[in-house]
Amino acid sequence: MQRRVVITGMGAITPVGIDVESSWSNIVQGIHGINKITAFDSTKSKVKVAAEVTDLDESIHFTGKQKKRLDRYAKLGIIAAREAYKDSMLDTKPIIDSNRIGITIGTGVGGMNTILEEHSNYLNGGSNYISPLLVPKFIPNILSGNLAIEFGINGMVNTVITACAASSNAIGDAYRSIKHGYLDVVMAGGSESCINPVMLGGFANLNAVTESDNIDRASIPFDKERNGFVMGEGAGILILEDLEHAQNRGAKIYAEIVGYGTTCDAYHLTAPDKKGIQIKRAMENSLNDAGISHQDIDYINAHGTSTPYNDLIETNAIKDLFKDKAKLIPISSTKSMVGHLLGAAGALEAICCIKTINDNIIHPTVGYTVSDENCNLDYVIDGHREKNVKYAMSNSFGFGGHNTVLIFKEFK
Amino acid sequence: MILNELKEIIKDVIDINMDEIELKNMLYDDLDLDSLDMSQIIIALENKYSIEIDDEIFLDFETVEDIVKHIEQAI
Repeated sequence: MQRRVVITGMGAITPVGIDVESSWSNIVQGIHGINKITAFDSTKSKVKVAAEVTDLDESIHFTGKQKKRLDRYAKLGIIAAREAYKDSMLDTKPIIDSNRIGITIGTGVGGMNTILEEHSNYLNGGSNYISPLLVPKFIPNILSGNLAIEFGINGMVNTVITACAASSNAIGDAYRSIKHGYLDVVMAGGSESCINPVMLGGFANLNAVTESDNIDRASIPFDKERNGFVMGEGAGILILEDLEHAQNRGAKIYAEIVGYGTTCDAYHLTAPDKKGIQIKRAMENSLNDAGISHQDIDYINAHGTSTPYNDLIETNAIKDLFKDKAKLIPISSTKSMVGHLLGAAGALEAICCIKTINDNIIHPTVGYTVSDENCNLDYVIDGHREKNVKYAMSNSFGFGGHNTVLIFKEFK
Repeated sequence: MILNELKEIIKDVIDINMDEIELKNMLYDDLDLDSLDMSQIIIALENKYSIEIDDEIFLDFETVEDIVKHIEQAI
């Protein structure tokens, strides 16, 4: 049994906006959310800039007791989920059977900030000062658990941990659950918030994150001088739904998800395989799943992290698969504006693909000034572009060699 | 005074005004505490008064007064 799967709601909270509309508006205009780090004192840190969620008044969203029980990663996820749920009208045009709704959330590290806070309490006062809330705050599945309680969801509630591909895998797995009849609706996406000195120090010593202190030349995907990503934080949630179920409920339909390809490099813990074979295969698998050819793709939302290796290898894999068409497809990197949301990146980029399809506007890649002869495709560097987009492809690749590709299609 | 100190702790855990907490309040029914709230309250009391409160004892607490009486006896 194979059913069609559509998107009926979206929610997001990002470094460039507190919801989908404000985030998308800034992304289209090429406004980035990268600034000097405020989450901690970065004087002694090698890393000076990050893309933080700003202007968040938690009291609007949570009671005092709720605030205490939730790590920031869970708070961001819940805010995005509430927007998506309302947007899908599941609150006013509800599902009768709560057993047929599920949740799949992707995250890289879950409540790492809580672990650091409680470890500090332990070092200062001993084990009696570790909060009983430690475990129910930090474990990476707890956002899913919180969402299930808030929305009364009794179906499959999962968390997917594949680093920077996590929320793309979450969306893909949700799509398969509905396509093959296990569930009718799935709240799918991701959340991440780990802008702290330990995480950034680790990434810096791995030479993965940029040490630039120029906020306009820090996240510069495909640029010759790129030297690492900018850490971001945020959340993105989609409501995926069986088409017939959505139509019966009178829900509005943003787009259809038609392709999911996921492979593993099985090569190295952190570096992508230069041959790019499994990246290419993930793209091919997603095209086969969608029943289309590479010729049909109108736009690629790249993984585009601004690291020397990823941007080159991704470019080569696109050239290898798309051949002559590679130079004709517009490719842009959302990470040039919001930094790298790690486990939540795929979800926000899926939202960008869907907005692209709905608005027929492709967002730019910003920060690019120095061309790289080896990265010479069309990265939409001169501002946003109007184009009729029927099929959009979204790439996400994570530490551990996870390569995940999603394809979205215009719904008519 | 122990009642005031307990009220401070409860206020901290569940974000409620201190004057909404009375000696006769039922912990689970009136104050709507759950097991996670109780765990936090107990550990805060143990740290504040340098005592240990056994599981069997705190599971029997029904009212704010039960906790106050136990602390008075323990210290």
